Amino acid sequence: MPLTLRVERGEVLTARQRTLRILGASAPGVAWLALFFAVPILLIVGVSFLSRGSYGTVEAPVTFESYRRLAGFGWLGFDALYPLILVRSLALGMGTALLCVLAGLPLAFFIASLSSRWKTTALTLVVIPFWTNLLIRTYAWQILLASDGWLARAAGAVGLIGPGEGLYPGIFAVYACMVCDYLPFLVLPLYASVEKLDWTIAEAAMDLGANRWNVFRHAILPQIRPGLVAGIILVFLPATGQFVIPDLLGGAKTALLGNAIQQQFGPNLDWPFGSSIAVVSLAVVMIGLWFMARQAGKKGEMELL
Amino acid sequence: MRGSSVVWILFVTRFIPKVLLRNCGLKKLIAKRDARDTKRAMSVEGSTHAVEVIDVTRQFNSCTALDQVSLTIAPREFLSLLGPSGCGKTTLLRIIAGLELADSGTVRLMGNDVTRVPAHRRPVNTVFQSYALFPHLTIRDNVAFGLRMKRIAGAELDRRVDAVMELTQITAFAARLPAQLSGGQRQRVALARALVNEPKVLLLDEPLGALDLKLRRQLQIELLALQRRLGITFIFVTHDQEEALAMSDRIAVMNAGHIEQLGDARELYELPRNRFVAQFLGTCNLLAGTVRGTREGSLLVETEWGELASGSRGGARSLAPGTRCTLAIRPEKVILREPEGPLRAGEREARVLHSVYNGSDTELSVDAGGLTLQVNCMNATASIASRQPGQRVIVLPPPAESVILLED
Repeated sequence: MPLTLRVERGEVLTARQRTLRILGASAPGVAWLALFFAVPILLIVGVSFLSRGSYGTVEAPVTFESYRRLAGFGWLGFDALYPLILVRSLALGMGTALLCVLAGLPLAFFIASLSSRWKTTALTLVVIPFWTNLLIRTYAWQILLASDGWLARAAGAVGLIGPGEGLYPGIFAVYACMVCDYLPFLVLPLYASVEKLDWTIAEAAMDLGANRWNVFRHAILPQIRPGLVAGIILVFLPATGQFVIPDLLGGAKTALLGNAIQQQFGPNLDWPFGSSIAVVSLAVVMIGLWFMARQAGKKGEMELL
Repeated sequence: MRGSSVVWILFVTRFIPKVLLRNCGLKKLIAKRDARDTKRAMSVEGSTHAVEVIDVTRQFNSCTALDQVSLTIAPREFLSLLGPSGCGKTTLLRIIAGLELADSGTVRLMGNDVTRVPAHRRPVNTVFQSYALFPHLTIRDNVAFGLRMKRIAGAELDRRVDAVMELTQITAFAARLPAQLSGGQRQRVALARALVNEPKVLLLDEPLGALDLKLRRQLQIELLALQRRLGITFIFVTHDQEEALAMSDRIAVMNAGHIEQLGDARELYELPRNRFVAQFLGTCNLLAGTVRGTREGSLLVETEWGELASGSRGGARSLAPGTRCTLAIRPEKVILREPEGPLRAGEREARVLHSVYNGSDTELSVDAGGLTLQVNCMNATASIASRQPGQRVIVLPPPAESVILLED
């Protein structure tokens, strides 16, 4: 039987040696993920099917009670509170992602059009907000948008808001801060795609009779799609679970997934119910991602306008 | 009362949106306008020229890519833009396509001024050097793209796409993606994608540049046959002089942002106007000289090779005696003979310096008493072609008709 040898970085290895090496090299990472990612998730899924004991303990009877409650069937009859929280959180994530796309697309194209020296500067500027803690940034927005701040006064002077009112708390303040925080997650992968763009394909589309919109739709969008999808996922995921910003800038009037889960694990001591919220939100997000990945992976099809 | 309000609600909710969508749809409006413009630009009435370029100038930063270029192209003509890289030939093509706008000057297609008309509303199509196929679309969708942009669908789309794919022999690859094709196949797709729109003028930017020699020759023949059959005006950009000579009705030789000479292949080769054209198309022996006078319609010029008569301009441009000028003699017009017998008038003894055997012909370099001449001999007819370096030959004086006077 011939012995299969492979040369790797100048070393001659048998297939067995090679496998051992790959396993050895990846073992720490695999072990880490297994211990701190896979096991906890399985625990959460498991706990979500158990019941809450009288003192907040997790007890034996296996039940779907948590999921029933989550769907809105509590002891007081039907209440859409939790489905609403889920929808609200997803809406926040999608809204943030959408605003980031609207702001990030022109920004990525603008940065890509700069000369190489200014490109580095611009990318650094995009990343700079990360150097500050999230809480500090959020409080900074509070100050910036407060009723005695210059932004609020300017808005009042133009007549956008009544006299003496602030721009915060409110939906505007939440989205302003969310977009500011998550824009870099979208711009960086998108920029990487825009940078590689083959403009002759856009010219070919123009030459074949495509107007501006069709050039973007058929020649540019397919090329930047991987970066755009990656960016949207990177914004959508954390934005959906975000609750600090809506709390601090939205006036803490509405519950979101993040608060709901924290509420159950913290003050309410209802771990099974908290787990079920976590599991459902995870499932919803994963279905969404699978759908997006499928969309992005579709090739060779062209819908008619 | 109640009945009428129901009618009103129906009217507001159903009828108005439908009418709005049908008649005021932005996309349809735009498509309508585009179709109208293209139709206008394509109307042939009153025009004997397919393309007119008048005094077009284009600058990039401080560099002038085109300097007051004018060019007129007849319908059904195959015109090549030939020149070294950076001579402005691609810029001129892009200005005709509308992918680049002229700083000044006018571009007309079929007699209509299109100088400011954007690319997508011009009745021309381009075959790009890099092919620029849509990587995410199948070959068939690539070919159908232009028709879809014109909102042509259904049976007509199928008929036209199938016909052009048949014509360019790419039917077998219809379902593949561009990345799965070879260079030559991609080239055919790029051609099909342009031809399906039935353009009045097809612009080709070094379309065969990336292909190997054999495939290139084959595609040259196919392309030319296609052009004759379809009767479309072709503007073909190339830096390959053989390609230009083999295919074109006329060739515009370009250099440093202007057209040096425009003419058919024979004219350019036999009567190059200046040093650039003479050297860019084939090789030349250049001789500096001083005008002595005229004789029998030929110009007499004193050169290193003695007194030569140049009949190239038929004496039409009689230069004053004493004027400095340059003469050009093609290597195949220099005649050698065996070193036997006495030297006759005008003949010079020479020694072979180098010899390059090309199969059908031999390129010799000879030294005739300090004067180095390039000579090209057909192997089948001239036994002198087999002379080796160091051996002696005799150079005959060039006849007046093979001595070209250049403008400088």
